[in-house]
Amino acid sequence: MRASDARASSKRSVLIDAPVAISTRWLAAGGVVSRIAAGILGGYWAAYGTAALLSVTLPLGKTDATTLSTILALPAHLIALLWAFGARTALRAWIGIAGGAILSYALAQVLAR
Amino acid sequence: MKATFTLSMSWLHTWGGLVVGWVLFAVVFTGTLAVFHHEIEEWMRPELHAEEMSAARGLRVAETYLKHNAPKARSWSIALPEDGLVTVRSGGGRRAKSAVLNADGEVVTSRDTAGGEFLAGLHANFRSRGFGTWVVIACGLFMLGAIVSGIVVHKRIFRDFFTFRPGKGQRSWLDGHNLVGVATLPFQIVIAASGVLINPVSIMPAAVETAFKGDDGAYFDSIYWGPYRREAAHRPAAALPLPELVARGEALLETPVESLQISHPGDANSVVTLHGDLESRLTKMDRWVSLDAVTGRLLDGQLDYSGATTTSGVIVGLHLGTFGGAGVRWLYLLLGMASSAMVATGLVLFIAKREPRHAGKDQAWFVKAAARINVFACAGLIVACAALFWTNRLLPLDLQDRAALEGRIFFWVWVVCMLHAVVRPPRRAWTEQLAVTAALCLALPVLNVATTGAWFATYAMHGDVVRAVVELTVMIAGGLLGWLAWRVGRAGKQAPASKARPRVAVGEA
Amino acid sequence: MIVLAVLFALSGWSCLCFTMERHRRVVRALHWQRGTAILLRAAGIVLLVSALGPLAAVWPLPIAIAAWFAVFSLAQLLFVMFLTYQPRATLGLAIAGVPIVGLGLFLLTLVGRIRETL
Repeated sequence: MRASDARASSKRSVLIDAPVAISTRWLAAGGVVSRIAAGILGGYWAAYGTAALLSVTLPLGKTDATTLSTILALPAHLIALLWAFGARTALRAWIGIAGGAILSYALAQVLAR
Repeated sequence: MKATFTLSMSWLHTWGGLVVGWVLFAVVFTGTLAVFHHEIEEWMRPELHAEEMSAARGLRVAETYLKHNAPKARSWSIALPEDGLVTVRSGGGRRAKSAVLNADGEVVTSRDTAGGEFLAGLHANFRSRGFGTWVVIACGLFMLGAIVSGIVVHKRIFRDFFTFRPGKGQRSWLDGHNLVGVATLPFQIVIAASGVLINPVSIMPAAVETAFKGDDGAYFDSIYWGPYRREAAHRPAAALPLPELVARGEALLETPVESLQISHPGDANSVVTLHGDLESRLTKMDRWVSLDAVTGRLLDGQLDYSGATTTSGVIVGLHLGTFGGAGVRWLYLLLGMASSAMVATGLVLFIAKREPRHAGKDQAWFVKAAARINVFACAGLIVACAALFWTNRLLPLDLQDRAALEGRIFFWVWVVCMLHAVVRPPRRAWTEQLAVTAALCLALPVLNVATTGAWFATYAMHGDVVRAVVELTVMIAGGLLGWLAWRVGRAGKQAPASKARPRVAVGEA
Repeated sequence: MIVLAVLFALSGWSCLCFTMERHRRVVRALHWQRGTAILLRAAGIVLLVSALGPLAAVWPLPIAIAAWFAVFSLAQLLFVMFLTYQPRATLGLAIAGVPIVGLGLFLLTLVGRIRETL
């Protein structure tokens, strides 16, 4: 096992052991609670905005667009959930997720007129 | 940067998996049992046996009964015979009355039991429409997150595809978790996604709000506009015989008819709506035709649906798994058990990794608590499910609210398991609870004979395949759980030796 | 039919498995050349895909495809259990691919003939 692997696995094991935030670059960079909120709550808003936007932009009849965009809200939420934990800092995650949610929802309301 | 992404996915998988896993096990396990909820319900209602009934006979029996008992009702509905019994309903809404009839036209009743429906209800929303639905949906979402993060983290997914090394402690738990996880991957992705999306508009109303300005009714009506409705003419007229109407319907639908509704029976404006077989199809969208009861003329119908609607129908169909008959249901059962094993091995793996490391440190309280929660989240639930079969037979038949009582006992059994898991050391708790379940399952035929006078051999001899197979399956499950209990107990006796050589967490995940 | 499909898939997995060095060592110290490995891999994939055959004979295609995913998942689990506890048998499964395919084709023609007479 190479030295870098040993370092990585020790960092990993320390990370996995900690139910509360401890001093590693990743956790300190955001705070676990913030990421959870971003992933779950923010993710739902992002899914909401995505569904709203797709319902008026998909090139299908109104009913079909509504059905498909409701279904596609799930992958949107999933992506947001993964992004919330994969992003470099929690702040970036929030900007991306909340920003995406607000933009898509606003655009949807404009287009729905 | 790449290492950080893997680390964060690993964290999400471990902690998201742990917290959600305790609830997810219940969802996955009850869902697996619910694949055969109809058959379990049949076993739980031993009073309902009837000979095969042809469709024509069923229609005759149903019509006679309805003419006799509800001649002035606004609508009748008849479900074509299934398992030798036909179900009829008259009236609509709250005042609807229904009855189950056998081939002689007699009403058949069975014990008031929670039945297989109880398990299906637990799986769908923990039997609480509002909050429970959100909990189950959230579990499904996290399950998908755990799947994706699990794949990201499991770097050697192809190299380890066939790897399983038993008897090596934590390594084996990891191998086992990876094995059942990867093997059932397509199944799990499909089931988790389709489960979350089973009724998407109810949890994600955004699209309806935006495109239909919140008008749910307009949206649903544009997809499915139900049976053709028209006012009664208030003059009597003879309708075509039901078998003839059913035959016309089958010709139009190109599938067998599953059920029919008759509006304003006996009236000149009576409409008969025939619904095509839904259970064996993959797309769960109701195909129907409405015929004028007097002339047989086609009034309205829906035979095809748009691509998007068909997609939503396929999503439901894939989740329910009723499309391929018994064969596919068995596949779903086996894969569902494997998925439950995946959740359980994941939970046990969490403890297996930390137990040697944290003996005596501050963080030990969390590990100790998690170890105990694992026991009643998994084994405790299985005990409660086995108890359901027992209360079905044991409770006196004329009890008030018998079904509700069975449900309450289910939860009390689970609570007792929780207390047991708190009081006993985790390994002993596992062994004891698994052993209790095994005993309950293996003794089922004895209980059955004692309370109803029949057991699976009797069922088999009378050609009652469904009940025989249910009982046999429960017994086999009991045997497996007993073996598991024995293995856990034996491994526990060897544990002190292996603890002396703590294993370092090296390698994947 | 499902059982037949499972058998197809089992031998398919077996072939694929033995393209991997670490698993060959378990059974025997066989020296397999590169060419054999490629052949095995191809045979494995063909067997897995052809497990769809028996399923498509009894079900319409969309249902058969859904069942096919379930079949090869189940077969993988069964296969690894075999590999762990009875490794010699698994080599037999790979070799048995040929007669299994033969049996499968025979049964399929039977089903076809029964269908026609009905």
